[in-house]
Amino acid sequence: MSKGVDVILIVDCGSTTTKAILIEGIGEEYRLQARGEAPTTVGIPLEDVSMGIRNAINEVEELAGSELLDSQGIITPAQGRRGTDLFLATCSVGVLEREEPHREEIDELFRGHVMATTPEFMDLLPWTHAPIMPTPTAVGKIIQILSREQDINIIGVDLGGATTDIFSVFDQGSHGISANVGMGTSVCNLLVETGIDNILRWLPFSIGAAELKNRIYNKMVRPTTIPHTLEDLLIEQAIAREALGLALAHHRTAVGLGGARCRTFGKAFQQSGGQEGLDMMELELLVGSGGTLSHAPRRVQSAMMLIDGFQPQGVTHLAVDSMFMMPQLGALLDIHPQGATQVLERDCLAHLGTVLAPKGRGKFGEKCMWGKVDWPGGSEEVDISWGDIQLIDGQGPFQLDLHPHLAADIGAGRDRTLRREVTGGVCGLFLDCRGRPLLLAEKEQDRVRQLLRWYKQVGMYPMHVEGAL
Amino acid sequence: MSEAYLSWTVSPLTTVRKVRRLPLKGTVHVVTGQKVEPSTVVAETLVPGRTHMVAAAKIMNIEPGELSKAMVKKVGDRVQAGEVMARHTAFFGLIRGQCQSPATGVVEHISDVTGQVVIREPEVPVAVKAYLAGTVTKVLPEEGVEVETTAAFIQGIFGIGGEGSGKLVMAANGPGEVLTPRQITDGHRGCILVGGSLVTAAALRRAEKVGVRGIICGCIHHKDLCNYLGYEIRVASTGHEDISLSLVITEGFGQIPMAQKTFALLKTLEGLEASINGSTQLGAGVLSPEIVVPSTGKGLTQETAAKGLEIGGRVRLVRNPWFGKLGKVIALPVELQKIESEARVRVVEVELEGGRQVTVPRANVEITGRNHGDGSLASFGARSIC
Repeated sequence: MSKGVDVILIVDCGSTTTKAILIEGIGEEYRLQARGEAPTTVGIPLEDVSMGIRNAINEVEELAGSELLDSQGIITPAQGRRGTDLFLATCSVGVLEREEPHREEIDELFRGHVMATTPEFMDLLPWTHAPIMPTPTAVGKIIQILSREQDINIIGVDLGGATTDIFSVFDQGSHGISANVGMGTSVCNLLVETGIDNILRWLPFSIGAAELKNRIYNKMVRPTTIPHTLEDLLIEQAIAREALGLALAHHRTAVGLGGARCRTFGKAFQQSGGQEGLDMMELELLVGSGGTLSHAPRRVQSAMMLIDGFQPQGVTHLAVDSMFMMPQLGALLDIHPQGATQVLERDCLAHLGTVLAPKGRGKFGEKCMWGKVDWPGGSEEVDISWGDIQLIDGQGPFQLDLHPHLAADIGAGRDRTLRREVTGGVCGLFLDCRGRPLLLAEKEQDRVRQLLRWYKQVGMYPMHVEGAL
Repeated sequence: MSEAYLSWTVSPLTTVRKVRRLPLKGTVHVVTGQKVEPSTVVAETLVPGRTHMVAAAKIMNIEPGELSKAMVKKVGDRVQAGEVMARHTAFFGLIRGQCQSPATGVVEHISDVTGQVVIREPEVPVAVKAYLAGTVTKVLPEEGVEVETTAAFIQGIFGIGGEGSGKLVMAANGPGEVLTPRQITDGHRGCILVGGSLVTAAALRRAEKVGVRGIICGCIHHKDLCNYLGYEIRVASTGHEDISLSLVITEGFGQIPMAQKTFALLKTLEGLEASINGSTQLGAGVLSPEIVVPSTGKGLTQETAAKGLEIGGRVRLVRNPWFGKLGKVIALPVELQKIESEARVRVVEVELEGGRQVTVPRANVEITGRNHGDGSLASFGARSIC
């Protein structure tokens, strides 16, 4: 199949947005040439999902200077700047209103429910060179190939508008679970499940619960809108943290494992079963996808959403789907593995860096981790207290020689020195001594101060005034 | 995202077509060309009643093969809820057992293999009404009809309650007025009321008590909606609430005045019979709430709707910090621009009503129509709505 395939067009119809990517092979190398995005059009007044696809492809045409569509549909095969050799599609529209489907159930759900409720997809079938693949299946394929190629334990998350899909590939097995919480049409499901207080706790400013709920409901009814103000961005990212945390809890429950979610001081931890199951200490790579993670204005925001939502322990590398195209590459994987893996490595994954987080907790202000970090051209003496987080910029590689508090484990065992090399990324090396589980102060004034300190320590948001956003 | 493909329809004159379909095959009562009213029953069918599987042999502690002999009722017999349908006696009456029907219905099946009795509840008649005042333009044999009308059409953003119809009455004097119980009188029974910026939970309860058929308003607070319904909305899939009125909000959640032109359009239609549907479904099979007011639209002409953002086109801003504001497009910069959140996005420059010029992400505007320059009602897009 891959022979003679030089131009590949793939679309992903999400519940909120439709994304199109154009991949071109030049010699032996396949690279992303252009990416377009448009609102998904399954509803009135537009109704026909193919309009959203056309709009997204039109943007790709403009950016790539190619002609890919005519009145008949997709132009095939490619001749010069006209047409494509391969057209594929993935879809997650309508994978909703179902209790936590496992990945193997999603194919059936997709064909039975999605195709039935959005018959326009049937019109797409003649356009595509392979059956339309459910988005979660496609993302799961990418996560599995990443795990297999690097022989590592990995969690991948696709934070979508309708669902948050988590894929875990650990030594014990692999699982893919869709949770019906998302950033768009099911954001109110998240609100009901997690409660307004858990969203409010991430905000370093005062906003009434009633006002915040109104904004969340407005997000539900207009899911394609984006945060314009810094305040709205903070709210969006607060919601994202809860969606990630809740989806992970659902994932653990669904695969019959246990875990603890973060709560504020003074409240009981939510425990289930007491098993560690997906031991976050064993997690080696955490990959995020979805509009909120992929399009965050600063990459450090993506990293912090992943860290706060999943609370990895020990040494964990972080990456994000930089252009929100993992679903498309998953669809390509079976048909054109060379093109899929090359674009995945070269254009898709943005390596954010590594987070080093001690497992355990100590008294805020007391010494948590100390030692030295070296990297080509530099080094830094580290001395971090419990309750703080530090970011060392750079791509690394970082040589760690760090010792934890006697009650903590940073990957070498409790009270044991960690000496190893880790890679950096567009953000660098996060030394996260905020404790596991992560604790937020109960009093609003203390919590706001705490959040502002963390955000400043990693340069998460523009600080206009010292200690204020 | 390069373009704003979202549009919001508020049209003083358009052709509205609705397919009115039965859930199962049945009888169509109207013919092509027939005039219908919203309450006209256009098609009817009988939906089979629920079935109840009763483990009768187990209840009476007998073998399944003994069930037929124990049955007092036979297949096809009617039974009432609680009525004895099987009785068993043994050992000269020392051992007794009986089985009562859990529901009113008909004995549909008696199994000597499983020992179960199947009771089917009576068939449920389902009538599909025309919903709109208009003309039947197509008959779908045994399935339903298509009804067409020329009407003003207003698309809401969220609603609750199903379909209804009634006389349109302005209950607010202006688009910024809050609709409270005081504005709702006994005389509003059967009417569709137009409020301004907000409707309260108390007003909704008062309206329901009076027998108001529908409410159209700019916004509702989340807490009022939950207070009125008694539960939180989890996903935007509404229309099946156990309430006697329909609510359509046009702007969103919070408190924002209803768009002046929506309010003005509704005011011109006061006194006319309107149809309202609060059903909302986001995601697959998207459905928006709506108000349809059949009218001749004297002096108005239908126009083609704007296909995308264009200079001079009219838009509504749908996200903070200018949520709810209306304006016209004055520039469409090609280059990505950095907004307050630091995101680099494609933007649109808009002149708001009042003259202020703002730059917003294209994703945060809804197209409301082409510019006619005079700001008249005709500047709203008008087209066929299905």
